[in-house]
Parts: sequence; C-alpha cells; structure tokens
Amino acid sequence: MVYQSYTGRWEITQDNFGVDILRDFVEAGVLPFIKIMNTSRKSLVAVLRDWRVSPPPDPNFRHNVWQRLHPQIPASWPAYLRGHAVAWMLVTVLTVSGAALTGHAAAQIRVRADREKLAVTYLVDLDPRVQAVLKR
Amino acid sequence: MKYLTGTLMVLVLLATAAGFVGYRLSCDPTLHAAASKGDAMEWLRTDFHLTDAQFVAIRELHNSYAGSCAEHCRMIQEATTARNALQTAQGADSAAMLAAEQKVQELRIHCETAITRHVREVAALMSPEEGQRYLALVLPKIADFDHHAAPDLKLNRSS
Repeated sequence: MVYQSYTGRWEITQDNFGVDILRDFVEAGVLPFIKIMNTSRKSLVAVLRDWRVSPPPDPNFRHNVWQRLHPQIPASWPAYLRGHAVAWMLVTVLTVSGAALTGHAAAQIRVRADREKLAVTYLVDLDPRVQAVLKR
Repeated sequence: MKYLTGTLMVLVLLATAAGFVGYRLSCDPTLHAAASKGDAMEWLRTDFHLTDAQFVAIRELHNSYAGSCAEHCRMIQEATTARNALQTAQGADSAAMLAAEQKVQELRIHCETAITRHVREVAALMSPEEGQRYLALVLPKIADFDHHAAPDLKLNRSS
C-alpha cells in the first residue's frame, strides 16, 4: 500500500500493491507504455519504496489557513460596521428607543410621586381633621 | 471580537445618554423643587399653570379659608378629646358616648363639606381643564382622609 505518513513522506507497506495497480492499468489499456517498458516487478517496488516526496515548506501556510477559516474578518472598525450595518442599526434603534422610554417612564414616576407628596402636604394644610390629629 | 466589544460599549453609552435625555426632558424640576421644600402653593402655581392673577386670587382664598379651617380644627380636637375621655371613663353613660361620637362625626362631615366647597372654589379660579385635573387629584384624597390615614401620615387611624 502506498500512503503519505504524517511526516509527509510516501511510504509503501505492501510490496504487491503498487505493482498490482499498475498491472491493472496496463491490462485496461490505460498505461500501454508500461508494457513496452517491460518493467520488472522487483524494480518497480524498489522505485516506489525509495520514492520520497519533500515539498518545500510554505511560509504563509498558517496565515493562509486562518484566512480561509475567517475570511470575513474586517480590516477596520468602519468596515466591520458596514458589514453588519442592518443588524447594528436595528439594535441601536431598539436600544436607544428603549433607554429613552425608560428614562421618560422614570421621570414620570418621579413626577407622580412629587405630585402626590405635594397634594398630601396641601390637603394636610387645608384639612382640619388631619390638623386636629397633628395637634393632639 | 474587539469590534463587537467596542460597538457594544458605544451602544451602552448611547443608551445611557438617551435614557438620561429622556429623563431630563420628561421630569419637572420645578415640581421636584416644590416637593423638596414642601411648598404646596408653588406646586399649585407651576403644576396647574396659574397666571399671576389666578395665583393671587387662590392665595387669598386660602388665607380666608385658613380662619375657618383653624376653627374647625379646634372644634374637632375638642369633640375628639371629649369623646376619648368618655370612652376611657369608668361607667360612662352610653348615650353620652354615642352623642360624643355623633358630634365628632358631624364635625368631620361639616369639615369635609367645607373643604370640598373650598377646593371647588379654588378649581373655579383655574382654567377649566386645570380645574378638572385639580379636582380629580384632591377630591378623592379628601374623601380618603376621612377613612384612612393620609398617605404619608399615619394619623387618622386612631381617631
């Protein structure tokens, strides 16, 4: 069997595997020239066994992999915002509106509380029934 | 991730600013100042949008009512004291107790009638809309004072 190991090298574990494949290809007419070459079984196995692939290391390999994994990472903040403009606009409108309404509601609660307090103060000044109790 | 975090922080700042603006635009600093000082006349002037003439007229009405209010107060106080004395006395006449209680109640009703008439007179000096709003605010409280303590005072419960 011919396979590529974790080291990147091509390894052969079964002598007959490569020869059998080539023979099948020859018989099928795919590789007719091999028949002409009259390659011996042993020499082919030796060639395949000694076959080593050593590709040159790619200095940009890691960078390229990350680029493929995250191709959408923008270069700048405005670019990021442009890429998510609709979502952020929606979130901003909802959040700011909600915050403004909350502030309005809080102010209304305070106004109502102040008004109640003043109405009670006003009526305590006017109402002798309350004053009679106060003066006891 | 850093752009997301930065955008969220900007959003939080925007929301805080919007909340603050919403609060400032909707609150009434004059009303709050009057509440802090307990200045009911200032409250009437600002909350019910009184003109200077209306304000002077209402203040005069209040001053004239203050005399009868003090008299009512004195009479209720005396009647309540007499009733309480009868209630605590040993072997008190039940008819006298009933009469004392009836007198307190009559004075309370008289007082409520007088104060209701007074606030209606005050409301008549305001613009119709503000007068209605004023009555809607104070009349239920006048009726409520007779049965419960005022909201921030625990006074009438024992009387």
